[in-house]
Order: sequence, then structure tokens, then C-alpha cells
Amino acid sequence: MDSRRADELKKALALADKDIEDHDSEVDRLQTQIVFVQGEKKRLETQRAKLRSLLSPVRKLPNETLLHILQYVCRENVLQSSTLGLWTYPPAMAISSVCSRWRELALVSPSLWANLTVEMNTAARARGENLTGFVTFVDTVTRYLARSGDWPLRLALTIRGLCHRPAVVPLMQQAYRWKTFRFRGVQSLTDYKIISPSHFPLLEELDVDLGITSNDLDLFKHCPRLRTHTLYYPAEPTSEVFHQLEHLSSSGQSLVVLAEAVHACPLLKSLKLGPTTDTVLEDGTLGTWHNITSLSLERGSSINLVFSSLNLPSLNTFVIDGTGQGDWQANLFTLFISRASCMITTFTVCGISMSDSDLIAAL
Amino acid sequence: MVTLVTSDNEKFNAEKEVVERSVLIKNMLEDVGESDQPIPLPMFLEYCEHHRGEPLPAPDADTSQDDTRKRTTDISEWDQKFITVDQEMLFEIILAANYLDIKSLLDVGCKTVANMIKGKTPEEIRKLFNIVNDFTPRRRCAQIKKENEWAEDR
Repeated sequence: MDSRRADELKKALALADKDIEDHDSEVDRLQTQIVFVQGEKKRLETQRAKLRSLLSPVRKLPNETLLHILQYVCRENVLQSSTLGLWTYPPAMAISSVCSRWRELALVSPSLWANLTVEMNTAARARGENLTGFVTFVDTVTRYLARSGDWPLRLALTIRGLCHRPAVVPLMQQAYRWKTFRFRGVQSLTDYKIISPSHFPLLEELDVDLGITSNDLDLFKHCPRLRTHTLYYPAEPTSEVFHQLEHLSSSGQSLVVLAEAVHACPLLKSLKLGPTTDTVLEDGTLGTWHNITSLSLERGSSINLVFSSLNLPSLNTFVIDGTGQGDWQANLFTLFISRASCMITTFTVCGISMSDSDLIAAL
Repeated sequence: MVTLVTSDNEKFNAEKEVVERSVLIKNMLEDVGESDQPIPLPMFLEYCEHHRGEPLPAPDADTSQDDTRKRTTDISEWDQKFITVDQEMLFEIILAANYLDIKSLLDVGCKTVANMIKGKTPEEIRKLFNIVNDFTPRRRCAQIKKENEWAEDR
């Protein structure tokens, strides 16, 4: 190659280098501009979100009304140590993490934190599953208890597996402010040794699946406000708590045993009957229950047996869920009403197929 | 009969029994007595007309704030249809029901909003109502994040 040709190539190369340099500079400039524009875009998006939030209708609500809504939302806070089926975000936690206004309102409203359903799966913990998750779960339960202050507590506790005391003890320490207490476990409360007989000054509603051999009811002797109880087993009707009950629910119970319990409750006004174990009664009658003003026959209760064997002269509210109960026995119902000579003012029937004429006769 | 005037000056005649579902109007009527003067009001006649004759809640019915668990968020079919409106109107209804002191309507509105919130994450709630996450400074954000760690890990 001659020197002239070589110079031309060098010049071309120098030009190419310069062009590349220029393009690099241009790319840098554009990239800087992109970063700037992206930043501006983000800033405008934040600004837009702020402006939108200023127009948000929820902002117009006064705290008092917002709290009214949040109380509906927080009717139940389900805290599970491990997910057992469907899981939803515990509402009080969600609400307190939305924005500073909602958080402040949540933190000064103990009622939002006082409805607790705690489901503890210690079986999973014993297998060594999700140990860190269990620790944060216990922290969350403790946080709920702290934020609920001294507000009356509605507690539903389920223990699957052995009792993990660090998780349960904080809940038991709040027994003085339990308003309702529901317990399910593979063992009884007595066997778990998590609660001792004590005073429950606020307890109004007790729903404890005690088990046939359990003495758990003895734990709740001192509940001056207890009015509602659910029976799952042939309870000893001499237990002191029966004398003050006004509402009794029964499930998986024999009607004869239930009758004993009812007679032990002089103040009893309303009765909710779940599935019963009897199909026939030996002497054919359960007698007259004078004070019962409200009767609810739940799914699986022996409706026809109740119709044929009970006399409720004061009944004024009658709810029947006849799902899966077969045909409506109009004659038994008529007999039941005429025997009682009661004045029913509220009558609710569902899950029963009956003819128009039977319905008119029933009404 | 009572004459009600909406904010856009439309006039409605309604029976006293219907409009007295609003405690505010009831009190106004009691204060004013029998009068031909129209009462300025937004529209709630349809709701009050439908619920005419139903017993009014006792004045102290909502004082037991701890009774939240017992309250159901179920809404009757008619009320559900009535309250199926856009978000802006829904909150207007709640505000008006609050102002007019119509407890049953306030409850329907509040239950509707509560049902919209239930089961949602904080981010989903923000999106639903156009709320800005205004937690500052960083330490507070971190605290909330730590509190919610258990729930966020689900």
C-alpha cells in the first residue's frame, strides 16, 4: 500500500473514532436525560397519587365514622401459626399499615385488636416446620394483646397438637378480661394445664368442647356475668354455672341429658339445639319447660322428636333450620303449638320443603 | 306531609312517618312544630320509604362499642341493591346518613365499605381507596414491615 492510501485510511479511522466519541457523548447525554425524565415521571406519579388521594372520598369521613367501619372490618382477627386452608390478612394489622391516619386511629382504638381467633398448630412446630414463622406468630399474638389494652377480649383458641406454653400463657394471663371464650383442642384445658380455676369477672359467653371425661367446667365456677354456654357433653348439671345461664346451646347431646341441664338452669330463656343423639325417647316426653321464650332448632336437630316430646308454653321466637331433615310433619307441628298454647311472634323457617297449604297452616 | 328540598332545589312531599326515620329530621320537626316551611335535605326518601314502619334503633343502641364481633356485616338484598353505587356516592350516603342520624342507613353504608376492605392487604386497600402510603421516616416504615413480617410471609 502506498503512503497516500495509508494516510487516507488513517484520516478515515480518525474520523470514525471521533464520530464514535461523539456518539458516546450523545448516548451519555441521552442516558442522563432518560434518568432525569424517569425521575420526573416518578415524581409526577407520586404527585398524581397524592392529588388523587386528596380527592379520595374516604378522606371525607370523620374519624368517628371511619372507626365505625373499621370495627365492622375487625369483627374477627384470625391468627394462625401455620396456614390451615384459606388465609386472610388479619384486618387490624392491615388497617394499621395503610397510612399514618389509619395507623394512628388503629393504635388508639383497642376494640379493633380485641376480637381474636388464635389457631395454634403445634404439631407442625413439633415436626420442626417453620420455626421462625412460629416465633413471629407468637410476637403477633402478643402485639394484639398489648394493643387491645384492657378492652374486653373475645377469644377463640384452637390448639392442634401439644401445648406451646410461651404462646398460650399470654392469652391465659388475660382471663380477667375475657368477654367470650371459645376453646377447641386435642386435649382438655385441664389436661393442657394452661389455666387454673380463677375469677372471670367479664366472661359472658363460654363455648368449650370439654370432652366426656373433662372437669373443665369446674374451672369456670366464678363467672358472675356468664349467661351463655354451649354443651357438647353430658355435663354435670349441678355445676354452679348452670344456675345463672340464660342462653344454652347444645350439640351432639342426648335430649334426656339436655332436659336435666335445662331443669338445672332456672333463668334459662333461650335454647339453641344442634344435632341430637336420640331417635326415640323412652317415656315419650321431656316435660314442660316454662321459661323458654326462644328456641332455635339448628341443622341436624331432631325436629320431629322435639315437636312430639316438648311443651314450651312461653315460646315467642321459633327458628327452624330443617336442612336434611326430610318431610315437614305438619300434624306434629300443629300438635306442638296447640299443646303449648304459646304466642309466637317471630317464626323463621329455612331448609324445609313444605307445601303452600302446610305453610299457611303453620302460620 | 312534610316538604323536603334537595340540594339542587327539587321539592318532594313525604309523610312524616317516613322522614322521621332520620333522627335529625325528627328532632327538627319537633323543634319547629307544624309548619308549611320546607326542610332542606338531600334525597333519602326511597330508603326511608322502604323501611317505613320498622322499629327505630334505641337512642343508645350504638354505645356498646365493644360489641363488634356480634355485629354481622350481612346486608339485606334490598339494601344491597340500594347501596350498589360508585365509591363517591357510597361515601356521600354514609356522610349524609351520619349527618341526618339515620342509624340503619349508616350501618348499611359502613358494612358495605367494611366488606370491601375485608381480607385485603394494606397495598390492596390503598389501591381501592386511592390512599397514599405516607409513612415516614424510614425507621417507621421498617417497624411496620417488621410487624407485618409474619403476615407477609404467608
